Amino acid sequence: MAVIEAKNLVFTYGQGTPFVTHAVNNVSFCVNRGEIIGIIGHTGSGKSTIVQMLNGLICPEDGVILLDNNNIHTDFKNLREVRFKVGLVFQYPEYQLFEETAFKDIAYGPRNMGLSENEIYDRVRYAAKSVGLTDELLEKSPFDLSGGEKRRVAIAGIIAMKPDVLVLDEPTAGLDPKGRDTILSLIKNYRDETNAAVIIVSHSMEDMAKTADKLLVMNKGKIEMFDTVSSVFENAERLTEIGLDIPEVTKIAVELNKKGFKIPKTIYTVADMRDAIVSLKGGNGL
Amino acid sequence: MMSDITFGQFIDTGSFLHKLDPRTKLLSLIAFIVFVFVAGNFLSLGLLSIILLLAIFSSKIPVKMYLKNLKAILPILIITALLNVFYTDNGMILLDWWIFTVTTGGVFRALFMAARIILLILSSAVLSYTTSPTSLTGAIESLLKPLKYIGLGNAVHTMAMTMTIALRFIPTLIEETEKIMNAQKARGANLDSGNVIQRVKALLPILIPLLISSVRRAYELAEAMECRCYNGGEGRTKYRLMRYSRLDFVAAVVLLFVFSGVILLNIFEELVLKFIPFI
Repeated sequence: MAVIEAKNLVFTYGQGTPFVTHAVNNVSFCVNRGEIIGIIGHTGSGKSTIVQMLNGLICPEDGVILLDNNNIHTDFKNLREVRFKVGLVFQYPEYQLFEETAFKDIAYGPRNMGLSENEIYDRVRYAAKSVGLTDELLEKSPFDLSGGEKRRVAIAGIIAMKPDVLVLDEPTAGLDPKGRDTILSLIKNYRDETNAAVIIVSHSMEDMAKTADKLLVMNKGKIEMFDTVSSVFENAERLTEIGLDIPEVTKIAVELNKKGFKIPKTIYTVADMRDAIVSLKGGNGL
Repeated sequence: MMSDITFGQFIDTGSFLHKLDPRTKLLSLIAFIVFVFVAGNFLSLGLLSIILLLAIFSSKIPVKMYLKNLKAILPILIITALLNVFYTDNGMILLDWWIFTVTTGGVFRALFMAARIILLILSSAVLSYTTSPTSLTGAIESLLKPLKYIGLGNAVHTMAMTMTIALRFIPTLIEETEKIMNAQKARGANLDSGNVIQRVKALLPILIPLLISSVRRAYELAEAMECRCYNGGEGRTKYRLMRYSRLDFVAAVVLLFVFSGVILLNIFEELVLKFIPFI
């Protein structure tokens, strides 16, 4: 069942000036519970505009957003309610931290929801656990934490609201490989535990290949492709045409395929590649 | 919403006013303001208005933009005019009611004061529309250079650099504020309801991150400047050199004529009025 659905979204920047840009042009898609959708696209392809529309921060000029079949702009008392259900983690979310302790910062969202102190306490605990923050870290000032820890506190701040749809804008930007993997796996865990829908904006194909179930490829404000990860990477040529990269493993697979090896072009993880090579040699995995 | 705030209202239309040296424009504005107060009657003020109108039209900037400035000070204009109407009591009595007396002298004085304020605002607008903030700070630095003879050379440079950096970072800070506001709204921040105390409290989640990021940015900028061997104004050269051109000379001569005209009109008001019979 679709938990969030976008229908014919349109948004233009700079209306009435010579610099009109169609940031989002007739975009429709729907996301089901338990799905992880990766939105990829070049800078300025409209990714960030779309995610800010999903929780009502930007009002689309045309089109509707349905949350559980309710129009977010007309069927809710106010947009705050929508924002608790569609949790949006901004790019570099660590710059929004402000409280004395990490605990209090994570509690900001739940407190705005008007929950009881007990409920807030439980939710902060739950969120901290799901992003792997120890009790000791929770009592520290968020400004004394490391970059990766700060980011996890910020993400916990959204997870504590237990949103049905978790939206993350470039959650791994500026992190080292280990930090990236931690963030991506905690996002997956959140999905597994709550069956929430997750939308991740990224331009790292590698990250998306590892995490997403489906990919939504944006190009110049329009949807270029919306399909499973393997079907999207099958169109490697089109992806490179619109200035996007494909995972390194896929590149190798494509090249090997050209050279006559029987390796499918749709491979996008190292594990699959290993299996494909091994089976080529007549073995059956390691 | 916040991106509507334009700071330093510089609009580049490439007119001859834009090409003038910023120092010329700054000094002209200061002189103009002085002469707005030197002008003692409507004739001399009229002369200043004519030259200002010429400047406004030659700036190639829509007159609407200038009028926007006047709209902003309308309350001040009205209050000043009203005060002057009621506090002057020479000339013919036009209206006498309760404690209020309106005389012709009062009306003239009110109009005169309003005209002065309008001239002040419009002339400053000409400068800010035709001069970029950075070249303006450059002009201030250059004009204050003589202060180095009393040992304030580095202070002048530091002040100008601070101003330039501050101006440069205003758009950045506005963008940052918007980002943080959106991030906190996404966490359910309620910015536009509740009483005063609640509203001020609701601002904290925005102000604290903003303050912290400004300090962080300042450190980063200072480090970046030091990495490029910045050590104050000593021996520092400029990428954009300011040079007086023939245009500046022409502008200065025109203004000198106008200003002498103002003084002459102040002195020989009666004589001139005799030649214009219909006033």
